[in-house]
Amino acid sequence: MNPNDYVISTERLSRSFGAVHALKSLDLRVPAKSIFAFLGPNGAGKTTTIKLLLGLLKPTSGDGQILGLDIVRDSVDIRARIGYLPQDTRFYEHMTARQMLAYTARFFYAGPAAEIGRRVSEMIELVGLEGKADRPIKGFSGGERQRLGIAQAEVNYPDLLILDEPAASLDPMGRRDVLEVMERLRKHTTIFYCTHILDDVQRVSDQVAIVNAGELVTQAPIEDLLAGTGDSVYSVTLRGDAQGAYTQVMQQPWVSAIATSQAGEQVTWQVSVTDKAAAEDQLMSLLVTSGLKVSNFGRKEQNLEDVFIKIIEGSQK
Amino acid sequence: MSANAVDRFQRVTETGWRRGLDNLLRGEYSAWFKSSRWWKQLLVWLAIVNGMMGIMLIATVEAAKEGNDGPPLLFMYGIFGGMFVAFGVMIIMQRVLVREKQAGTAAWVLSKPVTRTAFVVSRLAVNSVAILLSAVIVPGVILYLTLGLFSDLGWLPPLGFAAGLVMVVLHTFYWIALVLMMGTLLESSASVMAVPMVLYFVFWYGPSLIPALIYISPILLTFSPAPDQMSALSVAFITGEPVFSWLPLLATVVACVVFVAVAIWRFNRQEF
Repeated sequence: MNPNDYVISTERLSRSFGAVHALKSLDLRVPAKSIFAFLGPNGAGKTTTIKLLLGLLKPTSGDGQILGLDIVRDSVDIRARIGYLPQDTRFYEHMTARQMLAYTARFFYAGPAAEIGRRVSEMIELVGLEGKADRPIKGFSGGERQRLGIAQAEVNYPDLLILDEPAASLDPMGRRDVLEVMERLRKHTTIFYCTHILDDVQRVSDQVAIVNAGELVTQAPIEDLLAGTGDSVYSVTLRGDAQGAYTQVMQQPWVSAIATSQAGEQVTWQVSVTDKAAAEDQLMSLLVTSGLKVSNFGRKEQNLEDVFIKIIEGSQK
Repeated sequence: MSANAVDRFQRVTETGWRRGLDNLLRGEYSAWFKSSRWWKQLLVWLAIVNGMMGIMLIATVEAAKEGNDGPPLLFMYGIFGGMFVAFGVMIIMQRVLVREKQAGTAAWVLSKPVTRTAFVVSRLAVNSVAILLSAVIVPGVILYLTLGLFSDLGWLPPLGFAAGLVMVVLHTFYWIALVLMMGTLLESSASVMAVPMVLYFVFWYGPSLIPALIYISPILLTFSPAPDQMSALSVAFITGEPVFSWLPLLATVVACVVFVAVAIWRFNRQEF
């Protein structure tokens, strides 16, 4: 892929606040029409990155491009082609949802008024706010504000949607609705979003980048990330004297680690293996021939949360 | 993005620093004039300026019946229309930029295709029009009619009165621009209001210590701290007296330009 194929690309993008290096030399590549999750613990530099991309902050060094435009020099032109949902959605409280969406639309379109009105109604319907469209925003719940935030971000048919914690203040139903909206929009637009809800990421994202302490730790398609380093983990629950079997299993060339835990007379092993086929063929028989009673045996599915924690902890060592 | 969907719309055509200005102006205008805010402000200023001047007028009439001089009406207008309005401006304007910065609405608006210059200009323009209309121009016109109908001053020369009103407008704009500039430099409403208040008293009492201060004082446009020595410029224009110095007028205009320029410069460098 050449740099022009990416909707967002940054080169050594950095930002410091005094002695604090909030973002260190970030090289990010966001492919077109992807749903790209930007993950990291609190204070990792996610919101700083978004604000740099939007021109709300200026980089200390490095540069970046969105849709082929420079994030510093062409900031207003970039903002004409993107939609943004802030982390803490704050709008003019005296406006109704409809007025706020029309006001937002008029930053992009001068008219005709009927078309703008139609687009506003489409957005209200998209986020399910039909019953509240003509009420002042000051009476809206957190979830309703979040839906309105998504509607205003999408009102201009953006080429890129930047969403900072889009499902943060939503109940499970609201979260499901937001994810459905994101999936519906992926046909037309690229979505770059931050979140702490890793289940959502696993459900809708194509690509994931993880930052920690201002540094990019990894960026990969989600399948690659879940596949991890190639290690698979088998969980076995045993009864009997497991010490001899432990040494025997550890000597196998396809075993990389065993984590053990004991509950009463039961011992549980998490066996990390480098060769899944060998493990499937030999692990069970090794345990049985050692005289152990195996009450549970199965491959443990790795989820994004496991991967995330492993990566963050690894990057901190 | 569907090309057909977008083709239905006329794109915004503003370029350069004006990008987003029309919509920002429309939004600010609606906040002031399509709500009760405008009427409430107007009523407050009619009560303060015209109500107080009405009381002064009655006092003048009563004093005349007893063969005494009443309060000097144009001097009193300098206090109610000048000083009171200046302090009103400080209260109204202190929240304009600071509130938007603190609430996050400024950051949200600036995530749209608007320039920061357009943002500042929209806040300055609409707030100025709303304040000047409600606190200076409408009360000023009503005062002109009241004085003509009920006071010994009779029908003042309309051009002279209009020129006097322009001085009050300039004086008010000075405080609007100053408080707006402070809103870009400071982050708390209290300090944004405190600095102009202190400055007002410096211009009021300062000339007794440093006489040269009078020549750069905006308050001399509406109110003279030493009326026996010099008249405020507004009073001089209305009564046709010679203007003692044009420097306060010049200094006020220059200061307004500097305040607006600094506000725009500073806001363009702020981060959100």
